[in-house]
Amino acid sequence: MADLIRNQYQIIAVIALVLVIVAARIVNAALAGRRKMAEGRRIVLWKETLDRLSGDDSLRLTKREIARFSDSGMLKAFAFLSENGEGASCAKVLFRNGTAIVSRVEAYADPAEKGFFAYIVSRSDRSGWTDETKEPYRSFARALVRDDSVYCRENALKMLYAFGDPDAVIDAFQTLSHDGRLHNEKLLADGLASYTGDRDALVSALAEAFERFDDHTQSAVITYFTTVGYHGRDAFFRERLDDGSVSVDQRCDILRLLIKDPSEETKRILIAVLRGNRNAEEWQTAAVAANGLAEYPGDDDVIRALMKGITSPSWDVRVNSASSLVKLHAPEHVLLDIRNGADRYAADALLYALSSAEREETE
Amino acid sequence: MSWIETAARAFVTFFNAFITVYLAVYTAYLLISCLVGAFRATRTQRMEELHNVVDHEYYYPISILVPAYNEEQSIVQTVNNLLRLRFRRFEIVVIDDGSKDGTKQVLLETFPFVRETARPVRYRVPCHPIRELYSCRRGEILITLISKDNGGCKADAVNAGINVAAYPYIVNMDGDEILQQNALRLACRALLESDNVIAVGGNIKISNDVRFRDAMPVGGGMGRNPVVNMQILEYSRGFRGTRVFQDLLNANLIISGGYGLFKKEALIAVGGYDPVSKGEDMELTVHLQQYYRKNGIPFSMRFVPESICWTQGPATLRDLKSQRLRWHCGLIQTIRKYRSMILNPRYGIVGLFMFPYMILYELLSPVFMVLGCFSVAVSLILGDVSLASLLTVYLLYVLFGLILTVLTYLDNRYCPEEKLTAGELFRAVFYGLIDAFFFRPYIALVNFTAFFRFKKITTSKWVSPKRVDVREDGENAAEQKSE
Repeated sequence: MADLIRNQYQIIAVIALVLVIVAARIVNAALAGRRKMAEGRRIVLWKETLDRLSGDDSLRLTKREIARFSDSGMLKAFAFLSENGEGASCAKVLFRNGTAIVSRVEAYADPAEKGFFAYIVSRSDRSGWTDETKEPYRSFARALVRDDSVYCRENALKMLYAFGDPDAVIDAFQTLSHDGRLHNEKLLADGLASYTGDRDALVSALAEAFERFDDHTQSAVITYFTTVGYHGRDAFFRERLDDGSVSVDQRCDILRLLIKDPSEETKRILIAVLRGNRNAEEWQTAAVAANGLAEYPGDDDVIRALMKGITSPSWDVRVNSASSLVKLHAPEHVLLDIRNGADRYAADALLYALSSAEREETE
Repeated sequence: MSWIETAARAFVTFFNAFITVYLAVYTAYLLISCLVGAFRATRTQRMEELHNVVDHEYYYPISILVPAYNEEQSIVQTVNNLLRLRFRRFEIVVIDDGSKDGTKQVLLETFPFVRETARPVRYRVPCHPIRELYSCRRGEILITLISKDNGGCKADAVNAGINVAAYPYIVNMDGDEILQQNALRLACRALLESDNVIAVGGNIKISNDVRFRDAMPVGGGMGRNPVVNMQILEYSRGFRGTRVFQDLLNANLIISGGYGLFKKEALIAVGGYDPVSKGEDMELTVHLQQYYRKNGIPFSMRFVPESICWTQGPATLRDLKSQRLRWHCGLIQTIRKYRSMILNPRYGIVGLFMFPYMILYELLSPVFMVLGCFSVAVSLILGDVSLASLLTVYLLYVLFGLILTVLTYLDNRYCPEEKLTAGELFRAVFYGLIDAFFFRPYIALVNFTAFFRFKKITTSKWVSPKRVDVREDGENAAEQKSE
């Protein structure tokens, strides 16, 4: 017992520590309640501002109101109103006060707030916006595309897609390429698909600027072309297939683009790729070509190329060639030759393609 | 003073000095990890609120591999839960590793499988022969059932799944687990953030007493089984903090075998899982670290705590002991196998810090615990400390640990929208006390015995612990099947 009393300082220290932890949590819980109340107050503040501006044609915000755009809580409240019945009023506030708002956000907001601001603008009602009112936001997005944060870049791009201005998109893509920022290829291709402006103008602008992009961005652009359909510069892309400096990934993307638009010229290329690429490194392009040849029924050259493809040392080329042969309803003697041939792997691939097709038909 | 007393005092003096430094480093590491973990969690929440996220659920087709050995009780439920995942493009590959029960049979009876005699298998990673392949479709989702010779371990079964998987990304999980509905979407965010991500680890939670609706938890938490409740507290403590810190350093040394997302090509590059290892998940993660660092290939392995998979914890002490022995033996094997990485600057922070840390604070910690007990006993005999002082310090340690454990549990409640009841709070405190007094010392002792049973355990075969029935919402959570 005496020892226990002698250890009173240790006991007091630990009990104090425990009390501090418990007190910290109580304070945190109380602050959470206050934060919730503050959210409501912020919405009311914005509502009051919007009500005041509804009778004012100039729609000019005061300095204090503009300062709200560098505060995440006020931005959340603004976003809430923008998406809950006040979209048009919020959009007017944005485009009438663009320069002042953007200056404030650029100077005082942290990267996450900048990204959020870009997100809000990208989703705002765009009726009534002009080139002039968009300009401060465009330059803001151009700067934000250089940010280290992938989220900022993505939201900045979303804003540009929403503005529907091809030059601004091209400019942003060039910036990404120039800075060597590998923004996810799938996000880029998907983002382009959400572009709200004239799609043909965007396709032309992207094609025009294509060579100014890095390999990564080029692949995203080709994927986009494949999705939306692309006509007119097939020759350009066909030439790129022969360019040794173009990556294998991009060559595959180009082949998929060409496959979308079957033609004699494309067939010739696919056959050449399938016949020509016998080494291990180039199997990807051959596999894509084998797949694409399924679009050319009743052609002996295609069947011959696929018969060669099915004996490829590459698993994927064999499987894709077999699948295409079955899809093309290759003549019985061709299938028998393969099934009874010396190449067991080719026979296995064909057997599997036949059984898969049979099952698909049943299902 | 006899020579024995001199030796004892020398031992105590040396050990006390060593353990002081040891604990100081450990405390500093834990403190930094917890701070980083807390900061990261706050940041993630803020980023989410400010729409600073990248989302896409289409572009990463995923093959979900479910290795199963004697899982007839839970396998159908597992597959049904996977079918409820909200993700656009995935396939399910169940690998029946030569089960002795009716695992294959219940699957064949439940789903409209058709045998595929012509489907060729490309053996890109080693595994025991695949005997039969079945497949069927549920909507857009392809389900494949592999029936193979028993490989004696989970690694062999997963390797078979890798060989059959059609998609470029692989999720590896257990036959008794529930992948939370949004888990894949959240894990894929890491892939969208950087092209260099080769693996993503998720958060594992104990599901024994949890009710689910559409693969989302809707109620439950701690039940009546103390062994399970101890693990709930343990998992709550373990998965935040240190793993988040390791993630920041790109120094993850374990992506749990219970739930991990991998680029298939990365798995193939290192030859898949090692069937010899008892800790195949850690072995694979360390192998990936070694391979990519040695070859100077840019990579990252991420940990995404928001992506959650629910697993059944062993419900009996016997199963728990067997699991922990296996884990510790796996750790010993992995460290032995990759000893060339220790303090090797070629492997960066993993070689210079994480590997030595694993040796000192994971592998040898039970040894130091036993030595610590011995040192305390010697000090008591020599009269250097009084029993009262010891008890005071121990009780303070228990009290402090208890507070942290309970707070962590409350922070990570399974269904935060459910009201916290006095009963739940009482259970958390009660089991927190049992955890501090009995569970942790017990686990340390089990780990200690692993050094002596290493040979026996590393040559034993894959055993599946007793499972419980996981029920959908509206029914009692689980019926514990005790041995």
